[in-house]
Amino acid sequence: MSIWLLLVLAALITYSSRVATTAVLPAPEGRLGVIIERLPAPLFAALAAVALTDSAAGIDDWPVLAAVAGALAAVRTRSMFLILAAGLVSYGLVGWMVGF
Amino acid sequence: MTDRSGLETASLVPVVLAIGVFGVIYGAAASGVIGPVPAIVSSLIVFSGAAQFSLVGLLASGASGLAVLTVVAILALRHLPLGALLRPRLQGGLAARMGRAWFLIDETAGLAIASGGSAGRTLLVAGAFSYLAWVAGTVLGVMGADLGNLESLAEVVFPVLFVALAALTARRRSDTVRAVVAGAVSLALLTAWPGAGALGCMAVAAAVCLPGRPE
Repeated sequence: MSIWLLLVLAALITYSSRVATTAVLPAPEGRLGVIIERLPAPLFAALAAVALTDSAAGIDDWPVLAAVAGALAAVRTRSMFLILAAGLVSYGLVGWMVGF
Repeated sequence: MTDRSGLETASLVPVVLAIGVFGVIYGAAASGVIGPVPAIVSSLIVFSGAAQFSLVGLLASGASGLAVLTVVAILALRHLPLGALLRPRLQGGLAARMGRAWFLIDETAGLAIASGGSAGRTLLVAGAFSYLAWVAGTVLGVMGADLGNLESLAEVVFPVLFVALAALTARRRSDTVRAVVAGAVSLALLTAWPGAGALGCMAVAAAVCLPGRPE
């Protein structure tokens, strides 16, 4: 299979998955609708775990853990900017303290 | 600073920069495996870090095209729940929804869902900037750009972003409880079995949302 065909097929597969539930399939109802309605917060918490374990530093890295702790400390502000800022500042501070 | 979509514009900056940094890493890695032009074209037409990094990694290890496409299809399944979450929040007809679906990645979907304003507009704005950053990053990576230690800083943006999205989309106490359980179980699952990946963790999140007693 040529690289160009492979890329086109990969693009088609990826876009199909994006468009399927966003635009083509009907909105979920009933039991599935209840799950979808409840899903956002648990889904993003699960993706946070994925991002944490995906990082090269890993979950035993103090600056990364400090970033997550800093973000959690700021969640009461309910401001995306402040939560991100708290996480990144915590990462920088603890990274500076342990010399990265 | 909040734009008409309800998205705090300033919060978009670290997310877009982090996506750009990973674009540079992808461009550098991909150009050596599939060549500079296919590397850039892949970012233009696929726009999925997970799929593209897997594609290049598998090709580098000698996998067949069919094996690569199978993995791409499995990774693409993560878009299904994100799309279903966005669907009731997107206004407009089929063509408008199909156009916006192009910009659906974990980060943009999260920002759109958490946005206090128009989810469709947030998806469009966040998606357009993320797409441009991904493609520009790929071009820079192909050209041999040196990031220094920016990679580690970019990596930390994503867990922090998803913590923020979990917090902002938890509107009731039960949402918060489910988020804490899903996060803790996912972390335990990934520690015990790293191969579970995003799909395994999405299954965990769905499991804690199963209807039981009414709220």
